[in-house]
Amino acid sequence: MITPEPKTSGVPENGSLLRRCHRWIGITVAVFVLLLSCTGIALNHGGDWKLDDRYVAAPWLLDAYGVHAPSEYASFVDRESRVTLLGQRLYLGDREIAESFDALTGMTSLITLVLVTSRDRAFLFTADGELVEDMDLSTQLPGPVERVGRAGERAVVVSGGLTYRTNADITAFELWADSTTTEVAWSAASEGPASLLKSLKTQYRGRGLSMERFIADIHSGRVVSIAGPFLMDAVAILLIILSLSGLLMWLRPRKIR
Amino acid sequence: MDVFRILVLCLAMSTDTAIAEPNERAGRYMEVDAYLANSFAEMDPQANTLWVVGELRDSVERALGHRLAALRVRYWRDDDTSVWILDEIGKELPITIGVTVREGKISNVRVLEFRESRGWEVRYPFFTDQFYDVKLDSKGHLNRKIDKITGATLSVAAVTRIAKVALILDDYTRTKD
Repeated sequence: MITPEPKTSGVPENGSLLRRCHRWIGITVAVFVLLLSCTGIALNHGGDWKLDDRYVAAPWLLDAYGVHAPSEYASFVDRESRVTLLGQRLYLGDREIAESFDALTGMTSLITLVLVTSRDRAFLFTADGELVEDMDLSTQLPGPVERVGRAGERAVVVSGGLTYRTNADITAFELWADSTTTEVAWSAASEGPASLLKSLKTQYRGRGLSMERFIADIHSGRVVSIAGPFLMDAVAILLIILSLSGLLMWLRPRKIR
Repeated sequence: MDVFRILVLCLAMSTDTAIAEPNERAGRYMEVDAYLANSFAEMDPQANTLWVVGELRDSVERALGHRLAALRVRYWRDDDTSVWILDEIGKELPITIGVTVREGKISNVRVLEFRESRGWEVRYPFFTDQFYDVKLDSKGHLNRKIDKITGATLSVAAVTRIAKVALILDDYTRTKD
């Protein structure tokens, strides 16, 4: 006995164009959906996970991003302390002590403290590199700091052709009218040891690309050059098509029933 | 007609946004000397320094929710009034804030310098006036809730943290001095 085949009129077959499109688009965007979801979650919790304070270490990635240490630097030494400015990062010995320092004009070492100056600020650090105080000199000096040194255990700076000396607590600079320059040990720029410079440049490069930026670039597609965002746009369009085709497939049999 | 109205409204809003460039609102609003002159009308107080170490540092860092950048802070005092000029990062750059504390209560908060592109609304009195007469409660929190500003959440949080830190430091120095 032959059983008649059930009628399937109007119901799309498994191999219909819509279903095939939906399946292939689904497979194509699956990887991107995973990528976007994972990176999105990471970015949402970036603050908690301190992603802006973690850095990419892979040299090939740093090369790809063009993260290089600057070749020019400024370095001063006094007693046993050396301060080096590489880019905008300031190092005491091989320890980074400031990350946005504009111009190093000098430094001096005062027993347990180290005074470092930019044009209009003085930064007092402990010998271990902990910041004691950031002092605004623009209200105390007539112009930018031109020269830094020490007389005894007091820091001395020259500004506007005049000599100023810190008070005993190193909280303020006072005009030192009766100074004689022979009393002052002036700081002068000098070349740092090659091994130290190499170590600083490695450190500098290692802090050039934060995990947060890297993950954000993966999320937006920028990690693969300028074509990346367009690729992500295409993925977004495919996701829209996927949603619509899924909706259509869900609606069509219901209409027929 | 309604569509036309909506279009006109959208155009007006976009023009307003273009005029109100956020970066134009950042800047130095007041010098430290001017703030001090406002706080101490009849004298020129000398700056004192306070080493923030030990238990005091722990309390300050709890209030800040992060490490205090410097070991030493500067303040000005005359009898029961102290002035604190402190920096705190809102999102990425420090906001310089002046806080005057009188008899353990805040009598004035002023944003002296704002460096970021957003959140500068915290400079306005409608926000800073909320701190008037605020003090620390028995648990070490501000005794009054500070209302936030939409779009300036991080700056509001930074100013609120600094207000709390100034009260802690004032309390410590009043006891010590």
